[in-house]
Amino acid sequence: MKKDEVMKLSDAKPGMELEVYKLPDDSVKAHFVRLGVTEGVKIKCAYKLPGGTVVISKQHQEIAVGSEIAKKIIVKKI
Amino acid sequence: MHVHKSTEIKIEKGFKKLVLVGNPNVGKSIFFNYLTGLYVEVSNYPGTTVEILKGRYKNFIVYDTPGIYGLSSFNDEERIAKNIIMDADVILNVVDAVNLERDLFLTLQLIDSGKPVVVALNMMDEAEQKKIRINVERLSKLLGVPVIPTIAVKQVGFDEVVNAIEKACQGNRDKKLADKILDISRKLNISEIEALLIVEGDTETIAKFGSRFDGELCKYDEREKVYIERRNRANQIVAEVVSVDTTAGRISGLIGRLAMHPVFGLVFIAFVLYLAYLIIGKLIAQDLVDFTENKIGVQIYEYNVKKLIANYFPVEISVNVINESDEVVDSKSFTFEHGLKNSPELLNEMQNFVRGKNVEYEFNFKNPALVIFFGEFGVLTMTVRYLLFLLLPLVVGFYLMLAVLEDSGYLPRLATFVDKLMNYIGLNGKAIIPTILGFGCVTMATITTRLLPTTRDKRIMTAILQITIPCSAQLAVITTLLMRAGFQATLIYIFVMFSVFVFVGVVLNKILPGGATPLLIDLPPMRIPRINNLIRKTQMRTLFFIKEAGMWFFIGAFAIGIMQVTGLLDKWIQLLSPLTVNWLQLPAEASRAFIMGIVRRDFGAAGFYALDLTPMQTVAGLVTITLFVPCIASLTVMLKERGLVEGLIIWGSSWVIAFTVGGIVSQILI
Repeated sequence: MKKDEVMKLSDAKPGMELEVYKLPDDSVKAHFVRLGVTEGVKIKCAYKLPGGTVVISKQHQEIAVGSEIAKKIIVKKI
Repeated sequence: MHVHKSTEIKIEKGFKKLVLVGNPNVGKSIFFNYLTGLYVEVSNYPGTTVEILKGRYKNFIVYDTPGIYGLSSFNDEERIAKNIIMDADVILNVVDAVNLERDLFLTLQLIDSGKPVVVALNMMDEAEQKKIRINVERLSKLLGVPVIPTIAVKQVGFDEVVNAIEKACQGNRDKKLADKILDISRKLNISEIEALLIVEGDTETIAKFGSRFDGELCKYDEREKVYIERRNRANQIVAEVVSVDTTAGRISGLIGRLAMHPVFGLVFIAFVLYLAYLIIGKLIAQDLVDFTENKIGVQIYEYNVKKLIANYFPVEISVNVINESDEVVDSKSFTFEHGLKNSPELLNEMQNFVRGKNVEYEFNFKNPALVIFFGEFGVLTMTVRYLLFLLLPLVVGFYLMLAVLEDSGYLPRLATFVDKLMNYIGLNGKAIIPTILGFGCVTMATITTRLLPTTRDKRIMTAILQITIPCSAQLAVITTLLMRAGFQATLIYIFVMFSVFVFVGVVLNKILPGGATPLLIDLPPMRIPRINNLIRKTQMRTLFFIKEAGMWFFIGAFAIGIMQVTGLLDKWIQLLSPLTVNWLQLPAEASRAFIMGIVRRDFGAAGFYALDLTPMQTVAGLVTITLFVPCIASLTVMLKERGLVEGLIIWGSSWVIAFTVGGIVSQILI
């Protein structure tokens, strides 16, 4: 995959450095904003579980994201 | 109006409300304990302090609140916390120095509410280890409130926090937002924090005032804008006050990641479960309980209590002589018409018969009242034995294990690991916790369904627990019976039970509106649990459990005792027997097991011991009894948690499911 390529978080591979491009417009977004994840923030796809649950990391923080939510988050590879 | 009323109460009592607020796992509870001297739990699993805790410190009433990431109504914990914060006079905001960026969102939101705030910047030691440096003075200046660096586990900085509480003040609010809040609060005559919540589109606050201002309130909703601005402000502050030496690695993260690795995660679970089996399944459930229940419970406690009563009241004592392999080889009955004390010759004769033999006593009292209290299912004999010598060691073991899992930070990772699987039964990964606990004690597990996010989740989980999960006491009996029935029978039993578990979940997931709440959790770091904390937590929960469930054991035993002496028990057994004999193809006496199963799950299963069942009859019987209603203590806890109607529907369904599935299994197998 090329740099700057846009994809769903659910399609990201473990180890990829990503920038959050678009968060879904509902309470999920509010929750992410509180946790410190906004559009434009750099994250890393730390882990991906067989069912599609993704663990992202940001500095000292790790957040588990269910597959249904991961499908709705658009990220950009950096 | 609301504000005035509460101010009046405060003045009357002369107490101010100090509320502790913070993200989950920041050590809030330690501050609470220090201030109030009361014990509350500290843990790693997001949101275990669901109960509201209240204590006193000087002229403050101190409240602890569930860990939250922000002020709104996204889940029960937030709703509880928000409602306490609304009435706060002073807020002590505990912040994790390692995750300052995350935690500052809530801090800024609290400051925006206009309440006086003190910030305790906790876990300074961990931050130091991670080479995170924070300019505390600068942070305090930017926020406009006192910021005290602390290490809660070592009580470092507590004196300063205590002093600062007296000096708490309104912080630097977002200017534009504050103007808007003041404007709305004046116009609508509501408090500033309520105005803030309306601007942030908090559904509960809008609903509260909705009728007074019809629909007008939604026009103020600017949640997204306010949230993003606040987030940016938090990030700016962090950029200004925090310097990180990025060369510091994350070694502690390794275990945490292994726990969620597709392959090692499974190994990890297997390891944890094996350890749990060793400690609880083997050490406690078999060895320790065998000692406490049989030696202390039956041979010492019950024997002496019954003998004491038998001294003065008419009784028939059957003495069974037992050989080394626990078989009854000889039996003799002695009838004392006026109690042991009044028939010394007969007593002497009995003692001579017993001498040098390994025996068991059966006391049959004539007086119905004595049967209720001291008989086979006696309130003061069997119930006490069960509660103290069987259940108590098991419950302590389970709570200890749960505390280790919680404090280590493994549970949220386990929840992540099994998330997708739980989705199929309409739940998210968090539901694994009540499920595992259910195998220990369904009553206890039903209480922990509180940590699930929505009513739908709680509903599905409770139904699954109450219908399909056998508790440890029952499992012990089931295992013994299955061992006798053989390998094939065991496999069939496991297969049927698992199918029903999945079936109940899938069906409920289909018929209940909505879907599984997708998982979105912050994973706390893996830590080595602190022994003190494990002990205090286990102790507190055990007491809570005994208090919550204990009384119902007594009531249940009392009810069954009354049924026994009035002959109702026999009537019911007769009523049920066509179902048992024709449909389940079991002996008529098995009906008795089902009636007993209403009181205690393992009683039900244990009722099959004496019956000479074929392996396939055993499977059919065990399937039915496992799916059958949970014990009377779980029923009561369920009614409390889920309400009368829903609780009774679940209870009723377990009758239907148990006899339907059990019957089908029996018709196919036999």
